[in-house]
Amino acid sequence: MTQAEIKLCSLLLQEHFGEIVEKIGVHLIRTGSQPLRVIAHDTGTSLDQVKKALCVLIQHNLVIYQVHKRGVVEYEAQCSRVLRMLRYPRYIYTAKTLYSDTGELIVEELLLNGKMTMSAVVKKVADRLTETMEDGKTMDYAEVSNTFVRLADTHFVQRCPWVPATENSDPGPPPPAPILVISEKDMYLVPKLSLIGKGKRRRSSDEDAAGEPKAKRPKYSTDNKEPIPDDGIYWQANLDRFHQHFRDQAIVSAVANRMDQFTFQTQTSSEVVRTMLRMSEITTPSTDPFTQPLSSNEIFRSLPVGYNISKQVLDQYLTLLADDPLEFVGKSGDSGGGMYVINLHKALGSLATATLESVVQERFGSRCARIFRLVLQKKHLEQKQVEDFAMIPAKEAKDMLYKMLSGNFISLQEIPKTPDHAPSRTFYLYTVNILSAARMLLHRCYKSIANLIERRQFETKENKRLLEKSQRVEAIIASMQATGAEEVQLQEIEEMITAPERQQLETLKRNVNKLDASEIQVDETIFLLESYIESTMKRQ
Amino acid sequence: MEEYGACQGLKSSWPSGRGLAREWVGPTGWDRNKALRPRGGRSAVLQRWNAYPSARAFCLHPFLAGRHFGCTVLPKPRDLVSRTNPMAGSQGRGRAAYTFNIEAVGFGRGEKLPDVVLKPPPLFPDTDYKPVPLKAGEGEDYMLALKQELRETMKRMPYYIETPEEKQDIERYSKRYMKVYKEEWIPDWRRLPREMMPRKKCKKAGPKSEKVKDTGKGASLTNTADVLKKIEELEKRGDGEKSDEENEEKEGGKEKNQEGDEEDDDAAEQEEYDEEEQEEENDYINSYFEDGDDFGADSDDNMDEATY
Repeated sequence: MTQAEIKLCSLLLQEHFGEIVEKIGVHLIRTGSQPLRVIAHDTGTSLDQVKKALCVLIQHNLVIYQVHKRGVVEYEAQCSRVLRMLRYPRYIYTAKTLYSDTGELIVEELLLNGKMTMSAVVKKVADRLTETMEDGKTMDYAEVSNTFVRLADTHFVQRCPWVPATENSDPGPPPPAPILVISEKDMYLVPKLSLIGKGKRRRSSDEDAAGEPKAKRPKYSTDNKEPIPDDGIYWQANLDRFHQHFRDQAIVSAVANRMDQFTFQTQTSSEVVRTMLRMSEITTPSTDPFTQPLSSNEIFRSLPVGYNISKQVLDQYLTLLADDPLEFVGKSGDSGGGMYVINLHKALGSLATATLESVVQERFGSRCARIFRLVLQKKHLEQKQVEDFAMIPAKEAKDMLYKMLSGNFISLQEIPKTPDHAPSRTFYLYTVNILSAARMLLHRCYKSIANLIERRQFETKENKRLLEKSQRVEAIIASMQATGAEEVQLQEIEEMITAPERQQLETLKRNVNKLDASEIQVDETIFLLESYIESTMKRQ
Repeated sequence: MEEYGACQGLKSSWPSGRGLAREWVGPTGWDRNKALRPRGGRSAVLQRWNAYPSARAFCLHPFLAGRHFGCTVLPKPRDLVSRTNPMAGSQGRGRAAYTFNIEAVGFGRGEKLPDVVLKPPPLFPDTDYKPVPLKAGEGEDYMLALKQELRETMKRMPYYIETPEEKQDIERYSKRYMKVYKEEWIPDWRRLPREMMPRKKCKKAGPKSEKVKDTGKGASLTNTADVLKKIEELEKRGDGEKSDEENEEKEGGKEKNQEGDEEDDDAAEQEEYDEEEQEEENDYINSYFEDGDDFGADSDDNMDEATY
């Protein structure tokens, strides 16, 4: 764990779960796995609060526990899982694009609560959907649970490891911690539930709003009394599956950008690649460097309906794709009209390299990018060669080269002619080590997101008083509208915020939006770099 | 410009007969005391050379240097200069100090070398190029809205544990609007280690949102509550001692360990009990405020829209 990552984790935990959880979580990330009492002692937090914080962290799958030999339970934080919190909006948005509003809400509830039983999810989502609907319409439980089953079938949600049922005749004291098991076969198995009912509106707008906080509590306790049909079977969002989806989308759009602008019929080659990826979605584990070989006949059959291209044209496209120097698609055999695979590892490598190139271009200018691409292409180059090949005056070329060298985008390899490493008798070769450059960039990304969050918090803190005021005014206006106040009165209250204040609020909102949007988009780069590094590490 | 780098070579102005020049040159530069000290013999030279691994990259091996020029006597400064830079005859002394051709690094003849930088880079460095605008589109806007909504929702979930805030002198009226009602959350104890679970399985077992422990309510605490507090404090102290003992016992043996655990659990139970008492005290206060809160509860939803 680098310092930048820890810093980012700390900010994320604090924003999502408050300071106490942040303290415990960061302590666990720093020190590795620790037992309860040690955590309480080292952080100087009361045992009770540590327990609460750990419960929250375990609930959200951010901490796992393990029983050690002498019956001590140790808790360990999952740092990389904490960083995934940055990507929550993207997961939810993806679920929306794939499974519309119902899917969106299911994934959102699962992410908000860490893990939930299916019945609880279905109930909650149906209620929420009903609230957004017009009066008189309600959402059926069955419809929501259908979407849930579809999500499970496509592996976007999965079961959490569960506690195996133990016989009652278990002798001796119970173990200090339950042992959670997981089996591949049941991971996506949806329990047979007959959820009948409709989403309820939380309240019918007017009068029972007053008694709402009181009325809520007994209602929940009565809910708990009826037996839950799928008690103990918890579900969570399968983030790896989402990542696989993101990766496939990135590959498809890369192919579209590269190939489809040259071809007459637009989008065809990307559609071919999309079909291939969709066919191997379930058959290929997300960590494999290649997809399963697919014959051109199979691909032809699986093309989306209404896509009118002949088999010959498809074969031409496949050959074209296989001949492309980027090697996204490779030919693995000739049987069955030609077997084709998608080289996922290569594709990720190309995407990461393209990211590096564009960072160099935006940071150091296009001439530097030229040198960078040159070194990438020729692998090892001496300084003199760089100057010549790039056709840039020697002095400027050196300047650029050193700038990139000190920025760690380019690395230097010494090859001494004599064992004494005398500089006059040593070759200095410039190279691009993509893996280490990607790591460096990833580290910078973490740092910049942490900076963005800090800046956002600073901006909001600076304007805290103003924000509170505007919230208060809005609350008053809303409540007056509900009671049917006159237009003049409303206007009067609205004028409590002066014009300069309004302007200041606008600026703040714009800034915060920009910072938030940047966070999301930097995370996209993080995703690409992480996938590349992960896939490269797997191959070594 | 005076240049006392790591690879000075020889200086004709230095006292002669005192040994190899590079023997005097530490990683920090030329050391006058060392330079003027009598030589320590061949082995001492070698030792010193070995002591600075970084110097190896730049300086020749002390013995090799002599041999390299095919003579046992030390090379004259002029020789060194002509070896590294054949054109340097007219250049003067300063530039000749490097064993490699500094023109290869990009410095022309007669050019000044840049000064040594002795401060950290600026916090907000100027950028040569303006950043490109952010991606915009329907998806991006939606994700932005989701992110901001998610952040606010998280704060209202029972998982958000608030720190007990310090008491403000003036209780602000606006506080009532800010109050957030959280659902209770009871974790599934079957999935958690046993030590997580408070001993009493009562309604309040769940680590629900921490009630704001307002010290301002201290005034309304009755005498009995004070006594209870004291007892709790005492017990906490006792608890700490016990855990120390327990640690010692752990080393002792397993049976003892279990005993310690049980004791410990008892203490935990007590603690839990006390806390409940406290909470009841707070509960009373909360219910007292609840009457005035209807307004706030109503406006709760409206506030969501104005979130950043």
